[in-house]
Amino acid sequence: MQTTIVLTPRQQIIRKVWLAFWCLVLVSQAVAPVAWLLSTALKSNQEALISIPPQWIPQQPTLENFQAVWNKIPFLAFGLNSFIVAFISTTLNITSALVMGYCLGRYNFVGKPWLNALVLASMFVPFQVTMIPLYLLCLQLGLSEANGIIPLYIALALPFCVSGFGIIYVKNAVASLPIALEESAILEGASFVQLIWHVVMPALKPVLMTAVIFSFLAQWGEFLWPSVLINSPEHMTIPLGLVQLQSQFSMNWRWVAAGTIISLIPSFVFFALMQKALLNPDSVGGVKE
Amino acid sequence: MFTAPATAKPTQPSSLASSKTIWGLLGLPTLVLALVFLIPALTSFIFSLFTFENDLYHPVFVGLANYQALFQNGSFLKCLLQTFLLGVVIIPSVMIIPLGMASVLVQPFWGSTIVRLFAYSPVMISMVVSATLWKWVLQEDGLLNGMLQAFGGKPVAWLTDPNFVLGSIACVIVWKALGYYMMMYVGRLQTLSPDWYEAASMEGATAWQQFWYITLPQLRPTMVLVVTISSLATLKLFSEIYVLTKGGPLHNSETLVFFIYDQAFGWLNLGTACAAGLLFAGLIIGVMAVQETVKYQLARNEAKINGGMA
Repeated sequence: MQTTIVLTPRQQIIRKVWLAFWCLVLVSQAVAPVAWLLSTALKSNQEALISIPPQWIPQQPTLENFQAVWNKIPFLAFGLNSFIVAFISTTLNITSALVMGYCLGRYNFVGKPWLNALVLASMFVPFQVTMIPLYLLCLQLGLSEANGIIPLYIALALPFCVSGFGIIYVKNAVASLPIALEESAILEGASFVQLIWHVVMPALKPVLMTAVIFSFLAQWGEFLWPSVLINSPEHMTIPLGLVQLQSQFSMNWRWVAAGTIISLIPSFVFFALMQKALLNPDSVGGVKE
Repeated sequence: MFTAPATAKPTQPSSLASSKTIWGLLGLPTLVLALVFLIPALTSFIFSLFTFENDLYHPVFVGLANYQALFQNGSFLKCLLQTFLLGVVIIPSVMIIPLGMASVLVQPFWGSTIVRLFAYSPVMISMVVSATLWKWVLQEDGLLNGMLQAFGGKPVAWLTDPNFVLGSIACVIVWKALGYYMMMYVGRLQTLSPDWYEAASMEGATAWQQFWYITLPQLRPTMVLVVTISSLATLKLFSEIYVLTKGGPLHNSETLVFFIYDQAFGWLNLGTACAAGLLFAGLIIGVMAVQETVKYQLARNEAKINGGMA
């Protein structure tokens, strides 16, 4: 989008200032709410939370709110629950998407039209529709928190283990993959599973990375399904814990703020690790439910 | 929904993978898909034909009465209307604002990666967290009102005034989504050829004309995608609203999913909930169908233009 028009020095300066202004707007709109919450979390009990004009910088920054809330709320346990569920469902989701997407994209086999129809239909029908019977089904299969944490994990991950979106996403990517690689692997005597594992998966790595990121994020933040399944505090995931924190300490926003900031830390770490893959514009926009 | 490269028939590398081998791998995931999708969807349809109101364990067959009742149910229609109103604000906003952001950030300059990173960051945080952030900003004695008052304005009950609540929620949703759609536009803008702009400016086209006649037409497929994704997301709204207002004040911010959730788990009216759910699925299929039609039309027009040029 660059033009080759030569700008005068004055025009260049105006252009730079204009650009800097918009960058400032873009960054601050994204950061301001988080900064305000952080500022609240750092304010001591003596300092008023509400003043006119609002105080962005705490007078005496303190970590006491973080300490208090850390002792009240089992963040590590919530985080572990969230992580295990997100890990199980992401792993199974990506594996099934890889295998199903690849087979649907490359081969003709008995029953393929039926499988295609099933996958497409699962994309059109929203989770909210299947949620109620699925809940009853989980109860009947004994997948509830009454039977312990493992059945609960299975129930939490179950609806997100196979997703039509992921399958179609991989299937589309397979279509643009050169077939020669696979053929040479077959000539060298690779089995079907070896072919998928050693040839197809590496070739699809960027696509799969994107799918992993969005799948993991969606599961990490999932609220509706866990809120149906979980009642007891020790089984909660991070999003449920945060909502509980708010209803429990609705009068103490210092604690709510500190707890929310704590819950943000893993997301930031994840963000830092994944930023390269995330900011590749070719990768976004493919999968989102 | 997906930009599939036009492909010929799937070509088989060899006869290595027989149907038997393939089903050996696909069998389990297919079974799981049937278990978590097909069976519940069919059950949902069957439930929608029964009423559970008198006795949860002995449902009575009522045919399509649940569907009929929905259209006379004030709170269902209210939820439908409110979902629609949210869409009216959210969809145009995420079509236009991220395009502006993308046109700033698509040009390479010192620090552009950092700015992109920050502008994208709200996408990464969970819905519950973003709702919590904004609840604290929008409270009656929150940041926004504090700033308003500092400039001599009057405080507004952003989340508790029925006239403002939907607008406030829409803003929160848009805020979190901006970065996502921005990156979609950036991806598309990067592929546009500079030659077109060079030629246009040689002919004396203004920046605005270049945008209107060159950039915008080429962005149409991206825009269709943005509209589709954002309308589906709007239809499915739940968590943010649950945290921000719990559907209040007085049901004034409840959406379709609230209605389904409430009927099922609040009132145990499984029949009504499932009927509402299936109408909801119908809406989603409708959105997808419209999108497919538009995409098809666009592709045909494009083919015509390219054909004419050649």
